[in-house]
Amino acid sequence: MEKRRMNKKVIMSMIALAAVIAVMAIGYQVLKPGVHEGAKNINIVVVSEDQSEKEYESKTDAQYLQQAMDEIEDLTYSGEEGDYGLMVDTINGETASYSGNGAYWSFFVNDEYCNYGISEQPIADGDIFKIVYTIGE
Amino acid sequence: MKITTRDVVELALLTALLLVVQVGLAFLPNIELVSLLIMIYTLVLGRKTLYIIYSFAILEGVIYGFGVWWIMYLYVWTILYWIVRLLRFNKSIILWSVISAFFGLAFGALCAVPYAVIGGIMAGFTWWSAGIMFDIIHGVSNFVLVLILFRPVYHILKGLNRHFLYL
Repeated sequence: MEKRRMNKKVIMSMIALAAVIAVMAIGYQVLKPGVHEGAKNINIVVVSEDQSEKEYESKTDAQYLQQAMDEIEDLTYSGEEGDYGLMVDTINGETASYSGNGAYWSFFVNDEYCNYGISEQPIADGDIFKIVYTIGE
Repeated sequence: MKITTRDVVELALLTALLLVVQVGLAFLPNIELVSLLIMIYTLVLGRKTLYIIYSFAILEGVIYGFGVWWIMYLYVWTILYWIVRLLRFNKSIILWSVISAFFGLAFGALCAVPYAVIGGIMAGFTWWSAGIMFDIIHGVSNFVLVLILFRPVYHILKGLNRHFLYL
C-alpha cells in the first residue's frame, strides 16, 4: 500500500516536471528576442580605456550581434564561455580584467544596456552598438 | 549547535570539495554538482551545512568578484537546504532527482531577484527570460546527475562523516 502510494507520488512528480519543462520551452519560444531579416545598416563603436573611439559601419544580414561582429575584419574579440554565452573580455587586443581592476566590456544598443549575450542580442536596421571599456565600482 | 575542532576540519574539507567541484565544472554551462552535494550534505550533516553554504559563498565571491550575481549565492543554496530539511524523510532517489530538477528549473528565476530589485520587475523578468533555455538544461542535468550519483555519493559522505565521529 505504502509502495503504491510512493509510486503514485513519483509518477505525479515526473508528470509535473515534464509539464513545467514543456511550459518553459514554450515560454522561451514566445519570449525569445525577435529578429529582423534582410540587409541592415548598423554601427558598432568601440570605446577603449583611454576613451578613444573606433567606429565600424556594417551592412549585414546577420540576425545577432555576434555574427555581425564576426563579419567585420578589423574588429576582433575573445572571451570565455559562461552560463549566458560568450563573456567578452578582449576587444581589438585590449583586455578588460574583472579580477584585476574590476574592468569589463559593457555592450549598449542605442544607448540602452544590452540584456542579452552577444550571441542572442538581435540587431535591427539602424542600430548603434557601443562596446565600452568599463571599470566597475 | 556546538562545533568541535573535528567539525571545523570536516566542514572545511567539504567546503573545499564543493568549491573544487564548482570550479572544475564551470566550463559546462549550468551543469553542476553543487546542488547534489548540498542536498547530501544537508541529509548527512543537518544544520552544519549552513556553515558550508556561507563559506562557499564567500569563497565564490573571492574567486569571481562580489558582483550583483553574488547576492543570490547568499540565498539560493539556503533555499535548497530548507527544501531538503523539510523533505528529509524522503527515501526515493527519483523524488530527490525531481526536487533537484525543479530547483534547476527555478534557478534563473531565483537569481533574477537581485536584478529585479535593482533594475525593476521588467529588468528581472528580461534577465530570467533570456536564460530560460539554460534553466531547462540545468533542470534536466540536475535530474540525471542526482539519479546517477545520489546513492554512491550519499554513502561515501555518510561513511566519511562516521569516520570523523570516531577520530
